[in-house]
Amino acid sequence: MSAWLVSEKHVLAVANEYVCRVELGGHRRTDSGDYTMIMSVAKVLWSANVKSVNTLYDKTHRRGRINMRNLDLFAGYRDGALLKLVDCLDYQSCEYDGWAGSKAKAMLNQLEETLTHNVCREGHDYDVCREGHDYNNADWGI
Amino acid sequence: MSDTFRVTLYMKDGSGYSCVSVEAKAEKRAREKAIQLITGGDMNKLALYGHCHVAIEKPYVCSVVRL
Repeated sequence: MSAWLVSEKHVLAVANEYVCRVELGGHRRTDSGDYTMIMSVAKVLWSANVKSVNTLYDKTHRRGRINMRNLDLFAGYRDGALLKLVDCLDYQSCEYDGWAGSKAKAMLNQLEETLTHNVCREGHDYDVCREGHDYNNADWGI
Repeated sequence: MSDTFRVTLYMKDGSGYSCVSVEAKAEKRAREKAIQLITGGDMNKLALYGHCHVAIEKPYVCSVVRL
């Protein structure tokens, strides 16, 4: 299909939510230890994205430096919107062999599972309810 | 007047414009089929058409005709 490099803002938003919801179990702190974790996750995710685009288009892009100043801790994304950012990053990153078993894919799967659980009520068809109003009205990439 | 809708989508590409025109009994179904056809199911292109029912930005044009 096609793939593009997501923005630093995009990858940081996903990394931040992964650390908060998966690594910290939903308890957000804003100390330097958190920033180190977010940076580490963002590097893994963005590297996979770069690898995917390079594979698809036979390019040699390198991952850019990550500046934590571009992390917006107060963006206030709704769960459906975050789910779409996760889906987008997954779509842009899946073009290389080994993606399915990669650390980045495992991270996105964990976050996707958490977000889907929040968006959908018990007993609903996940494939249907995850793409509700917030999802459909959110941007595919930021 | 019947209840058939014709949805036409144009997409600019490197060599000009791609165009699809789809007819269906329901407008929503015609839009879905047209979008699927012109994007080939590519989510990155589908996203451009995500709000076709509200607005579509240049150079994309979306027309709907009730036949």
